[in-house]
Amino acid sequence: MNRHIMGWIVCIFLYSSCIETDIDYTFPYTEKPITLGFLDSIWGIRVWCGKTANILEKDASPLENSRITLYDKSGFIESLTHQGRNVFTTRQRFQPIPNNEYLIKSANDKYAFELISDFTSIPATIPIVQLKYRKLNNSVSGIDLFIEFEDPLGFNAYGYFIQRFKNDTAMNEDYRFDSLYVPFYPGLQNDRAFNNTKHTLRIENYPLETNIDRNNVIADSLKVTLFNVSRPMYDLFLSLNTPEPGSGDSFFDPTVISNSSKDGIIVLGAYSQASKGIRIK
Amino acid sequence: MMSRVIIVAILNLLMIYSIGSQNVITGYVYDSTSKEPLVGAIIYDSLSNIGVVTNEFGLFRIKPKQNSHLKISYTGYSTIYVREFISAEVMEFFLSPNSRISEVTIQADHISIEYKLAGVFSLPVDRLKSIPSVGGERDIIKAIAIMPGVSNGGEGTSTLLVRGGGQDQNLFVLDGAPVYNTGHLLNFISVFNPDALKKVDFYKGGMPARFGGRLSSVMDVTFKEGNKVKPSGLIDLGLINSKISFEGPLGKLKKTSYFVAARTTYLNLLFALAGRTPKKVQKYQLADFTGYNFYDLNFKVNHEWNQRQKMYFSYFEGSDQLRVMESNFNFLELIDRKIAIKNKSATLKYLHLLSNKFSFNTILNYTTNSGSNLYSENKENLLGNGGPIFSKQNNNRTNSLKDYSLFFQFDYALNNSNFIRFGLQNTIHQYQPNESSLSIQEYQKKDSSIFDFKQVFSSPHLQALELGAYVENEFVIKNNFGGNIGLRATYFRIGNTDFRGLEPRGTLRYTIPNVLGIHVTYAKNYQYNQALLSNESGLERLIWVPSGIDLKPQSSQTFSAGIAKTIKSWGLDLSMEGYLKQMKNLSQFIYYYDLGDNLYQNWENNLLREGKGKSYGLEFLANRSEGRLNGLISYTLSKTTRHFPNFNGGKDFSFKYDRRHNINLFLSYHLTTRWKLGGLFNYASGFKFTLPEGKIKDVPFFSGLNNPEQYLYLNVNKGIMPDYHRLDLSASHELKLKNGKVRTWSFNIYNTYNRVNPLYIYIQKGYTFPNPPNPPVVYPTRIKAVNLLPIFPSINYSLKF
Repeated sequence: MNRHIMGWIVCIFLYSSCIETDIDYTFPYTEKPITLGFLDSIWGIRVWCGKTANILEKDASPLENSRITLYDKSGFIESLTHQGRNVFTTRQRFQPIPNNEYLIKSANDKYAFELISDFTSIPATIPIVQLKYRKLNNSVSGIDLFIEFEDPLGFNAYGYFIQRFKNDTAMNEDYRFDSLYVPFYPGLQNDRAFNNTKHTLRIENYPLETNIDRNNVIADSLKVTLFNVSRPMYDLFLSLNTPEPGSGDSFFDPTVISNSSKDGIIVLGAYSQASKGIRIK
Repeated sequence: MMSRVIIVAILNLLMIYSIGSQNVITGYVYDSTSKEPLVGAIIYDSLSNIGVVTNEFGLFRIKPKQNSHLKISYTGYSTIYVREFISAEVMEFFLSPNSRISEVTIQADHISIEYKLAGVFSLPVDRLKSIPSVGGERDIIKAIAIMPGVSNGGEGTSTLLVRGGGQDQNLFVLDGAPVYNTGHLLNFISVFNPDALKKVDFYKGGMPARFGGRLSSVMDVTFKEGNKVKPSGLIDLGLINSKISFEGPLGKLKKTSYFVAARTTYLNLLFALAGRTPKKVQKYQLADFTGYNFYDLNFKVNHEWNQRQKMYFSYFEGSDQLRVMESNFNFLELIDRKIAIKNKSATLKYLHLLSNKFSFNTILNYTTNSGSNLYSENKENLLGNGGPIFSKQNNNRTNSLKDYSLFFQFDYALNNSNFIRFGLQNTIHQYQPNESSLSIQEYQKKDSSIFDFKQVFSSPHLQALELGAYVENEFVIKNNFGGNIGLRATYFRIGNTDFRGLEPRGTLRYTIPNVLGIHVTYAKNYQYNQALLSNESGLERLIWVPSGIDLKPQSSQTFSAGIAKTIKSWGLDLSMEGYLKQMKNLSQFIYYYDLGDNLYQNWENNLLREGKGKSYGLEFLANRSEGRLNGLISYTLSKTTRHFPNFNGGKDFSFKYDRRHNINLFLSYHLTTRWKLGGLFNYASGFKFTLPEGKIKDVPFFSGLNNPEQYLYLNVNKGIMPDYHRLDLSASHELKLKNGKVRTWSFNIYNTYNRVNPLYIYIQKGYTFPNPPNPPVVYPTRIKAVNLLPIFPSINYSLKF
């Protein structure tokens, strides 16, 4: 049989399917206040306040004049100060006490209710046992990086951040453009698959090369930071990191923000961090 | 515990065997031309209005009233009337297939639905030929899904969802063996070859006590045994796949017959003819290749020593393989991924008729279900110092379940009012839910490794024992009142953990003659085998895992009540049924995204547990199974929710396939003796999905990302897809040729008016495009729907010889 006819039949069967079209669909939407806060040993505490917007709107309008207060089990600690861009911190650098539990409350005159987070503490610091790498042979400057650590018993979730160095000088990294950036937002992984064992995180095809002042510079050493993330923060990031409908694997269901209520959303997350360096030869 | 169960069973056996009774007629019903037993033939006592059906050996027992006659009928065959009986012997009755003319003008001749037990539906296999289908491939699962309370999952798929239950809650039994994977070709086609089907019984809700291990339904499938008179065969050529089957007698005594059927797709052959082959990718002549292959094989040998001893051996094998390859000549890179699912089962069933009233079956079965996902990546870098560097990466994952079963089933006709079944079912399950490995190797010359990395995850091999003992009594009191009352006792042991369950089942029926029938049903079920739903590149499969310390057995209770009425002059059965189903200890996978390939490693840590499910609804059915114009209208009004602790903020949420309304209209019309037309219309409320309920934008914490806005998912399955509706049409032309062969052309159109029924929807974000010196062009945000199956015409040709 004519090859072209057969090709046409195959196309009809396999590729005529999956058609896309515009539809008239109304997404349910109710405006809600949202407060996101993070505890860590570097910043102490930082909190952002805002309100939700309809996904079909172009912009989300800010929420002004919020009041954020910090508590621990023994009671009130401090009212946080607005630092601009709807971000609040303590007046002086706050140092969370390990194993101490904290919560935040968020209020705004626009709403008749107050949002209260769950109690959260900073998780244990997980040291990096060993760093290894292998150079990729199909890339000029790409490597596979292996981060080995001991996972303790119980729920833990990990994120990482890699900083490149040339001649012991740190090269510009994305997060330096905005010091508030949480650098491990994508790529979190929980420990369900390797709970209470030694585990190696594999980062595939990590580029050593970066562009500085229009020059391509290849790093000769790396500093790897391993973050151990609390459960509420992990759940929040997992949900926020859900691929948008149609952009990811359409067969999976998104994870919902478990802390949401009828009135609004408030999450207080926490993380610890540990770093280790490695020379690239 | 077990020894006690066995002793009680034996005592029951002896006690029942010693009870005497008279005038029970035992007999077989056969096809007069092929001498094959007719499974599901109806034997009807004209005076008592009591009817019984033949089992998979064509066997029945009935005690007729004095001076009454028996009416023996089977769809597509001439009815016979019997007045004289010899109760001491096993009788044989032969029904003749209707001629073509009478097939078209067949008279409605069936037992009123008021007298039938609720909960079971026997699909007339002949009806399959009229139900339009995807690609012209007839499908029993899709045919069952047009019944009320039943639906398929996604567009065009052969998954089954019954009264709010999950797709792992249905028991598929093929000639006595469980089938764990029921779909071919990304689940678009069921594994049950329609040419091999003899009988399909479907139980929802009030399943009899002899069935167990699933919460929602049982589909009991019997394959053909083979023509005992002369060899014959069938070839069926379709757009997606083709089938061939042979049957005939073995030996001169004609006490043995065989049936063999095979089915395969030829998508890969079509690809090859279009110049796309895996070899070309391996030689870097082609950048990529996607291939799909499936096949199944059925083989059955039936032997009859005499009227009292019969046996069959049944074998089934099915396989699906998806292959995706990519090559990159610049880096001499080759990626090869193979995803496969395999099913095998072998069953030996032996029937011994000890007396006209007492028989027993022994079933020996081996079943295996396995899956694999093999990934390999080979690269060669010609630029390496000191010669080329070769690298190999393999990432493989496999899973399997093996069952070894031995069943004893006893049937005893105590009298015409009580038909007792009891038995013992023993199964050893061997599970390997996950075995995965990752290895990366680099070398310049042989045996000179530059880099070597290996990581192996292996879930423990698990073995479990599942026992089930049951007794049930199908009874009739004063003709008007009857039912099936049963009790099933189950035991499941894995390691040092064991579970026990008592499962009372019952259906009671009360008939007001020539007015209507009323029934109530109760069923308690336990499910010890649970399934993780895997979806790899769209190839959906169930990975079976056992209950254990941290995963309690699922259980359900179903209550239902309904009324039924037959309008005899129209041959129309009308029924309405309401149900309430409560499920406990449901489990569900969680956190899909971050786990990736790790999803099945330590699978028990990735589950939501101790979930509850609730489903209730009303079901309506108008069914006409005989006559020139036949078909059905079904309507289901239902609601199904789930609840898991610490999930969705502790709130109840809708089950994904919670469709409030579901309507099916199926009509089949014999236009002439040669032309048969069919049409199927389905309307259903859209399924549920989780959608973003808002967004946040320009949060400084996430400022390093390219995307300045994040969507907020706040409630599970709060979104509702647009309503689903679709019309399918079919026409077939059958012609008997001069040489005795019968050829049939079948034409199908799936989704005739090309309705876009979204598989999923997505948001195409708006943007502003600078257009100097003119004003910038603004593209608004749009909602897009993706439809899997638009209008799909197909043609089939079959030749019966």
